[in-house]
Amino acid sequence: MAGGSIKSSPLNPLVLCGSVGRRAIGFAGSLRAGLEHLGGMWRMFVWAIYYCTIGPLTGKSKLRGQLFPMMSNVGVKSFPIVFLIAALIGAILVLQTGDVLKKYGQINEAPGVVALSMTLELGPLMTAVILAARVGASFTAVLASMKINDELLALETMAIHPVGYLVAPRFLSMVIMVPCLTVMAYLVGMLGGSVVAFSNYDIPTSIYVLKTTFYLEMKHILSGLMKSEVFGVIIAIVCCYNGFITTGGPMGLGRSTMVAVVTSLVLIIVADAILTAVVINYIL
Amino acid sequence: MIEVDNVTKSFGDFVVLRGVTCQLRRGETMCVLGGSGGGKSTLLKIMIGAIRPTSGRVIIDGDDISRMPEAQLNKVRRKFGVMFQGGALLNSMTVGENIALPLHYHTKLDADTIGTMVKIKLQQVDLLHAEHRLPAELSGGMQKRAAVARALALDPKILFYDEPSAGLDPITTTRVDFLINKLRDRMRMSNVVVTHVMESVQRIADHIVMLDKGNVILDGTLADLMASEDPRISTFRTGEYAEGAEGITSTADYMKDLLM
Repeated sequence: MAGGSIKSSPLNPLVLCGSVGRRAIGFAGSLRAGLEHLGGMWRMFVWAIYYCTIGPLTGKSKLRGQLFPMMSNVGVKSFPIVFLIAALIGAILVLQTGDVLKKYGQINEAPGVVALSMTLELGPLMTAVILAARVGASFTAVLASMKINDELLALETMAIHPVGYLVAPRFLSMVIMVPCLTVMAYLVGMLGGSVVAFSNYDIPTSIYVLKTTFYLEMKHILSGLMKSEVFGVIIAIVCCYNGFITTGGPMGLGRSTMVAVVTSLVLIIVADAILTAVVINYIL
Repeated sequence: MIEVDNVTKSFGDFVVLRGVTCQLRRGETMCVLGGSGGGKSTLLKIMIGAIRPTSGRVIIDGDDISRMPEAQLNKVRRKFGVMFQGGALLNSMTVGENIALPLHYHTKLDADTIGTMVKIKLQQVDLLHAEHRLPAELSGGMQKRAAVARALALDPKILFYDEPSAGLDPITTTRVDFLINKLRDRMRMSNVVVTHVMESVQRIADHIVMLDKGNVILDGTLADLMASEDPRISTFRTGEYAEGAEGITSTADYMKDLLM
């Protein structure tokens, strides 16, 4: 009895080795699955590029009928929420930094803080976060529902490539509309900042504009747009991919949507960190 | 027309099909029968090139599709149409747009001609009035007929049907069966029908392949099916059920049957 309990004790070297081995195998399995998903996303990215560029020329994809409704969904319908969030972020930035700047007699530099923060970081990042939640989640849910209902398989049996028909217009609309929304976020953020700067710190709008143009350079705007382009690609591919690999009915649809949004957000932040390092070291 | 040659399919350690061999001849309706988990849906997916067999060959009109590259397979796919169990119509499009989709992709016809062809296809399945309706606005039987119309869009030589009677009332089932016979008789189409409804089989089958646990247990005619004394076939034919007779005796067997 006592021997049995020693044998099954977690301190027994054999039990310990078995436990470590099982965890190592589990980790290796997870790593392999993760790499397989990365490979799958990469393949989808390559196919999407093909069906957005060469596909229409060879007649293998027909984007014309789908692209504008999709761009409207991604861009026009997202604009109100981007407007609201960007305006509030600009206002909050002035409120948060205003008192400190005022203490050091630098309140007139607040427009520069807003301009650089919005263009280099917050504009692209907040726009991407909004789009991942609003548009990315809907991409995954729609494609997952189609997968569950055999609609993707039906497309394949009609010799219509599902990536060309379903992913390419979503991918292209994100690539086009995310930078457009980001530019809107820049402008609206600065507008929100100027309202608070005027109401709380008596900075006239003319001074605000002057200071903004003094600090803001084209390289700041372009650096932010480069980020937004990468974020758009990440959202499109991650969300479409998760829709395509959905299994298991409504539960699977919910799980895929959650995984797609969380993965998009994590990858956006990782890409943001890498791109910020590149921008700081090589561009600014 | 279609030759399935010694096809085996495994998912990991689980073998779904074990050396299945059968043939579909031009202008005949072949019914693939079997209980749940027998492997008939897997066989259908292999025949339409949706999944690849672990071993064996599937030859459609002389082309072995089992190892064919995707681009080449797409050319073969234009020879056949598929009606999926739930119809699998694209829900965001009207019935007419669903039927026009393959025509837009694979032909250079102008919009007017495609519109006319859509009407012809809908006429063939008696759904002309439903052209502008969304799939969600149709009944189950109408969705299946609309799916047949879409499968007919490119004038295929072969039509695959996955459980065409599933979820339908007896009258609608008869109507779908009548449609299958009409397409075979008037258009010389070859049909592969996966089903487990004996009444349908009696109405439409020229050739029957019955699967049990991945093995072919019958490859013959309706008369062979009716005359067979194999208990696996006779119980399926009559629908008789004796508790424990199908091997569902343990919890593990019961779970396996449920999960299939």
